[in-house]
Amino acid sequence: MKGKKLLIVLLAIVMVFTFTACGGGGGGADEEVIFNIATTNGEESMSFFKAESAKVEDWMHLMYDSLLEFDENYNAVPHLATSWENEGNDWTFHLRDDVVFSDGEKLTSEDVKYTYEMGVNSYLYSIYTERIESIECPDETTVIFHCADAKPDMLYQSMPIIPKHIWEAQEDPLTWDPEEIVGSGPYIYDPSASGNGVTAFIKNPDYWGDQPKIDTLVFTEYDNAGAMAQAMKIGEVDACYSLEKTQYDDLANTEGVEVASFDAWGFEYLGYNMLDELLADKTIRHAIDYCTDVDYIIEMSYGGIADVGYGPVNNKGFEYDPPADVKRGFNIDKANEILDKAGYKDTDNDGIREKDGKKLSFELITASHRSSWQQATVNSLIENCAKAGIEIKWNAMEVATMWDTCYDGNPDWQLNLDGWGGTMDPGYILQLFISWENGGYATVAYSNPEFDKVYGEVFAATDAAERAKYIEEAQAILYEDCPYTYLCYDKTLQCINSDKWTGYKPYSNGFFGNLSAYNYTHIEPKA
Amino acid sequence: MGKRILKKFFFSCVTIVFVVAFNFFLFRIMPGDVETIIAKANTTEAVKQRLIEQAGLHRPLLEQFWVYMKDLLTGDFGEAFNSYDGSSNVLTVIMGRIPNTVILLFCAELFAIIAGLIIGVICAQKRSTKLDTGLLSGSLVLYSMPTFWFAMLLIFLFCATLQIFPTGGIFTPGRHYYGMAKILDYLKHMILPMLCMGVLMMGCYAITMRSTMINILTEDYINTAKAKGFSTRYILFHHAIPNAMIPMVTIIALNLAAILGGAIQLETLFSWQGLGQLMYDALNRRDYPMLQGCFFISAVAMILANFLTDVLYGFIDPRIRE
Repeated sequence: MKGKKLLIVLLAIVMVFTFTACGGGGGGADEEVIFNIATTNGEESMSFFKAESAKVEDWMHLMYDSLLEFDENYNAVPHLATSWENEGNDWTFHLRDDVVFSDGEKLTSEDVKYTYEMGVNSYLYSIYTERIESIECPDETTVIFHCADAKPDMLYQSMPIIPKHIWEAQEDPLTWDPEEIVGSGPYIYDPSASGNGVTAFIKNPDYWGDQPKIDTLVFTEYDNAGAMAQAMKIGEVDACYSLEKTQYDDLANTEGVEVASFDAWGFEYLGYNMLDELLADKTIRHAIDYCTDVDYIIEMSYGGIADVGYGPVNNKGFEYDPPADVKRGFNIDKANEILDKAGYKDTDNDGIREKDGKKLSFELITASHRSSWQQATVNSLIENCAKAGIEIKWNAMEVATMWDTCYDGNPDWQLNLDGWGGTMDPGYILQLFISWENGGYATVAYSNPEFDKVYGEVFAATDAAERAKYIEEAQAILYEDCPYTYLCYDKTLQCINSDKWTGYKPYSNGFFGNLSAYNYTHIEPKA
Repeated sequence: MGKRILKKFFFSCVTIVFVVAFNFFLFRIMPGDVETIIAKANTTEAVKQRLIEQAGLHRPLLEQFWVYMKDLLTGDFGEAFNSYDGSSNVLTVIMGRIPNTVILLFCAELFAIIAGLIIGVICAQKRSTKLDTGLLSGSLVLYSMPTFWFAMLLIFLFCATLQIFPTGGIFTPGRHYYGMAKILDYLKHMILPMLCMGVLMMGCYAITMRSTMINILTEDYINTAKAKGFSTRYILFHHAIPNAMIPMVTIIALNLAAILGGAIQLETLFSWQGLGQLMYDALNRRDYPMLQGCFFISAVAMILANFLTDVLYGFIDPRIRE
């Protein structure tokens, strides 16, 4: 009798949970439309000044508007600004006059001025304020930026315009974390549905632009990539913000799930410390470059999902492709040839070349948390360089210790593996390579006045074609100088439940996190 | 008895002071200097400088320690470098996370203790039978199973195949549940992580209980009780199990450290927003103030648990009391 009672209780518990579990999905005609995106990290500060991550930068586009929007190829299109003109060092933007913040206040040129002036203190957005000297607001819908130069990167700005009346009223806006966020964007942050790893936004019913087709947009934190993939398979989440390669392959074979790889504006590299006595010789850098089998590295370390690169700029249409007569492919014979010619010989038959008593033996520093996938790259370098008489010894260390060691001006390291991320402006990433004494931060103590001159031209050119020419020229100098060997352009991996959702389009940098709110406002359930 | 408790309490307080000092310096001598990370950030020099000053990193180390101790005594755990759950106040964030961890670990521990005791007693009672061998082997397998693997098995079985439970989180995203529906939603999300930790710990308790019970069941006083004609049930509940509880309490207290550590893995695997997941997140972001706060709370909880165990011993075992 007791056993029966226990069985009934157990069955009841299972039924309650089963019903609750089934109740989550929903799909009735009047039911709220929720789009749930799995992310790999949780809530962060959404303060204009404190926000740090690319994910929050994406959320800013939901809550605020920028002067410009971008098409799939990152050409500026009108948004808050209906038109703009550039004359000398001045940029004039003409604003819409029908935009209101979610508290009913009108968005004017004063808000734009305040945002850019305060933007110098913002972690994410201070880079957009560089070289702006003053801002003028002749009327409510006109804003003029007086810049130190032509500022051609003005059309690559994605600065969220914050309400002056709200932020100005705060005692210390730089440290203030707003709970109720007032913005003019297509969505409003919903603190009541957020928390516990969930960040929720509801559609802004008074939005001036295209009304979002979903009622609630939810970002859910998953710390376990395997669980995230399972959640995607069973429809618990509708999209994944970033996938690991294993999950990418797994979901690629799942019916109704569209997976895609996107450009990431960054690159992975092998850096040469120019302050090292031997690596200061370009011949040695070129020799190691010849010994780098990037195809093998992409296959083994990046699961085949990465592109070959020859320069730091990974923005569509700006990638550098060296002419055939200067291009250095994987060629160990060529490495041996140039080293022989430069007088590096293995005189003591230990398999390592030397010159003036100095052996071509180098320490390669990597970040230990990347060892699981970087070991293929390192082993390939060790093996191939050995065939050219160069010894490479591997030292994996904690990432911050690596950064503490491998910095500009420190002669006590030789090689390292790392990566950089860029922005939508193809010229931006070149600032890494300004002579390190003048503010460049490539970490390898790179310095070339010729490059500095061309870099200056990149930010003086107003004509797009002319600017592209200078960007190419700058990359050609870098390719010849070889402070880095470019291992690859890594990819961003995302997926979406294509069985259930429609209306989205792939940007070159992703379905989401692409500096545009287009997909968030246009995605809708399939009929 | 009172003197003994006071002495234990004094040593617990001294330990806490050492933990606080260790906590502070540990994060500053270990690799992963925050200034280096800030220097690597994709922002302007002015912003980097402001961040360093806000974090107080421009001050000498001893001055930082003095400020830290002073603030701690006034209950101010400081501001984290990052924001979590809509706040960057360390104490607010930690206090918000503690209930989730306590509920999960308490339920898991309770499940493990009850199931482990029952299995251990059954095994000892049915010693050398097929049932004993089966349960003992099962317990050993569970005891030695890696948490992450068992968690993935549970997710695959209950989420992907049977689709009874969600894969992670605490509440169903985007839904506004109230009252009973909210509690049920919470429990529905908690069952898998609770089962995962509970079942794995259960093996440990079952094995310990079995071996202790086997020893006790061969003691003279048990034979005497049998000779007096007491029922097996009476002997078990009045003589064997109470005596077997002394080593069990030790194991349970020692396990507290393990389960607090295990919470990091468990909460990360199931995206359960507790203290463990917070530590993992803070470690990834090199957030010293948050890590210090988490470590301090964990250490105090551990020291307190050990103190309570010592006190409890006095009640369970009269020899210690005397």
